Amino acid sequence: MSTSPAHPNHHLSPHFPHPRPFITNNPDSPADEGYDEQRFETPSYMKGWSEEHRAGVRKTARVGPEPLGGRFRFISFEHPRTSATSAVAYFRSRHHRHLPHELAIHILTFTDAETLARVALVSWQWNKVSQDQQLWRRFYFRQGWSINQRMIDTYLSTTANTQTVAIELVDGMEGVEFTGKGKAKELSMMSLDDDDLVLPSSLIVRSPRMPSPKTPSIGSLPMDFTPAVPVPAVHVSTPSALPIPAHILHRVPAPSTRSSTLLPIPTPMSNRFRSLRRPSELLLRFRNRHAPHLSTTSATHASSSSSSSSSTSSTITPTRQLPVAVPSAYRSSRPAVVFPHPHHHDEKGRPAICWKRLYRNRLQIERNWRVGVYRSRAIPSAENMHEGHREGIYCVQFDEEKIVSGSRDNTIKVWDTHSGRCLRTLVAHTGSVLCLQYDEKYIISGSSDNSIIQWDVRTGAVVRILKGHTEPVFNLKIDRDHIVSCSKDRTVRVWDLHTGELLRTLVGHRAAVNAVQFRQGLIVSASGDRTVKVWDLRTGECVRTFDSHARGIACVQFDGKLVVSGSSDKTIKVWDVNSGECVGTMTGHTDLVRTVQFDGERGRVVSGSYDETLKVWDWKTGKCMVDLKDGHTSR
Amino acid sequence: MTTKVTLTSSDNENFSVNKEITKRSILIKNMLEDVGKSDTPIPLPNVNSKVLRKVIEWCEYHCMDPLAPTNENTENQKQNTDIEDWDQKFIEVDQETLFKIILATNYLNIKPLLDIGCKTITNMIKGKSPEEIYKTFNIVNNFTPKEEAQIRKENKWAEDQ
Repeated sequence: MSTSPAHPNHHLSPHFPHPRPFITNNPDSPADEGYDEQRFETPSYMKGWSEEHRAGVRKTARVGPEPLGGRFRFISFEHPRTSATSAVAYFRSRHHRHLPHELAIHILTFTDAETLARVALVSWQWNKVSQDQQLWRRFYFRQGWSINQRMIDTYLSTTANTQTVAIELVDGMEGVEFTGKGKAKELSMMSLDDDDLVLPSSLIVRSPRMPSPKTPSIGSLPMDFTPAVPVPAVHVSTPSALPIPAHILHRVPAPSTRSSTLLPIPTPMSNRFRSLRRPSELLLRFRNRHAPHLSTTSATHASSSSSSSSSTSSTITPTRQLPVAVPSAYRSSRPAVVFPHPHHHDEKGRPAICWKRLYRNRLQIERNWRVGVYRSRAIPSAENMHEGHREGIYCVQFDEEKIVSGSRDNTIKVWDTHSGRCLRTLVAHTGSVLCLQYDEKYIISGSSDNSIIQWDVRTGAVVRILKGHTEPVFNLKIDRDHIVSCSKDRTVRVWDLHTGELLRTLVGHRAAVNAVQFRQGLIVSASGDRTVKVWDLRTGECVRTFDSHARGIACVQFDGKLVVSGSSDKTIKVWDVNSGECVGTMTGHTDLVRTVQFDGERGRVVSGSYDETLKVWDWKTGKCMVDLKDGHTSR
Repeated sequence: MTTKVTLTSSDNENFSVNKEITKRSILIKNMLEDVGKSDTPIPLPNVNSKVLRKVIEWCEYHCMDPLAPTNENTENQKQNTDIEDWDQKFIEVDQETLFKIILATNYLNIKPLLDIGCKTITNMIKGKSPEEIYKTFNIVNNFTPKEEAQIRKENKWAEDQ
């Protein structure tokens, strides 16, 4: 109990891993530098309270459902006794912070992430409410973001299994993680405060320059598993005197010294960090299985433990963190990094997604788009240049596994997205491959040899050759049943995907049709005749013509509601397919706009131009948000 | 169809209200359905007369509104904190009354009015600094400066950029 920060290696009590009243950051103690993120301080207003009072608060703080409709009190700290359990008490209270939890949440559903983050600063109670998972989940979906349920399931079920933690899935699921510095700086306090949480959502990952092994007394479980620590003998001492079988400890791979010294400051994506995640998972699982009481009873448990009652009850921090308490020895380590645990546990102790975290990461991706944070990679890589197309590439489509490219060298190549290696080269066209699209079964390509070839996506065999166009096939688009193609021969043709039968030929454009899209029964085509036409897929009738580009149109995209076209007049226009109105024009490219993609919901348009730049636009404002220059050295 | 229902507030005041109007409250509506015909006053021990009067006033004004859709497919509305003019005036009450109305409508299960109350509070929070929020709600900030700095740092990502 008397350990001072000056003696970080003070031997710890066997029953209580952390002898200090509470874990805190003492700014005067250099020993604490490494734990900047660990903040379990007694709220200042509690400081004058008696031990008993504090303990009482802790107890009431986790009082379960209240009599009235299973409500939790939004606030329980301020008046642990007076407000007690009576439902009527709600009605005596005067302020928002006395609203039942569910109502507070309901109010906050009307807000947004930014507000929630500010609300977190108001008080402990508000902070806690602002961590609500459902709230963040809601905000997440409200942004129009989607999740990959399969990945989440895999991730959660994998993390539930001690032996096989698929680290890659984590990163895969969350997409782009924070780049560098942001991530490592996470806090654990919030999650600790969360009643649903078993472990704080953070692990302490230690830096290479960690103190020497003169730290044999290891008081807390996670620390035991910190792989960067050379642990000659592990003393396991937890509040519940949990015995840890040695074999569990041994499962932890000890990273080599070399890798430790290589540790850069926080680079979350580095392999080293990935490997460090594992022990924690292991631990988490272990704890769940063997010590569920640690996660549920905390406060009462600690204060009722007679041997250490006096010291524990002054530990105002949510006692759940006891087992996670940072042993003073480790607190002396230099720049430690708190690495957030990516998921947490729901009320039933099952792994669950931390929505706030997911939201944050997703938002970061969003911002990367906005700000233009990106990495580029060349395929094939320098050493595999021989696998590349021998001439320029006209078209490409990709997914998580493969990239399919069509080239002026008459071939199509299928690449492995991960390795960047060429898997297959499809040869049959006798002219440049100008366009292609694939689905689960076929690759369909259009060529300057006037034909369309349907290939088997798995084997690369030619399924059939569609002939009809009398000039090069500039663009094509498929859905489950149709192929829609357009050609320099001024026509748009609709084919049956399954039989290859030519269903319809749309005639109307007065020049080459450069691009075609279709969706929801509407075909949109863009032509050198300066118009975009909208056709009915079933009848073949031209239902609308957009006519305000000053020169020929090179590309078009359509999402069912909006049409975006890029033209030789150097502008991009956005049209409302229903009203026929031009709702936006983006100017900035200095040459023909050759290709566009857009996301109507986000209002984002990405364009590529003969001026050798890619630009990201917000079509609603018409502003260019990001200008990606110097990437390409040719059209 | 002018059957009256008597509601009794926590301070024992009786309100005789048109039955159709009381059905704005899902709680009372269900209660009436369960009980069937009954002349017994319905006790509402969680609502005092002042608040009950307000709530009834709202229900009477909105008696012609279509009953709110029961499902929660109103995600867009959640982002919209606009309040109609009449409701805006109606909800211009002191904070204590506002909270009581929210609690009462939550209890009575009158979702549209609950939402109006919640939106009103949301509007008091949205775009406000934590300092302004303390003031508005008379809250004591119980963070240490260090904790505050920490949380601020942690939540920095959420700030609009």
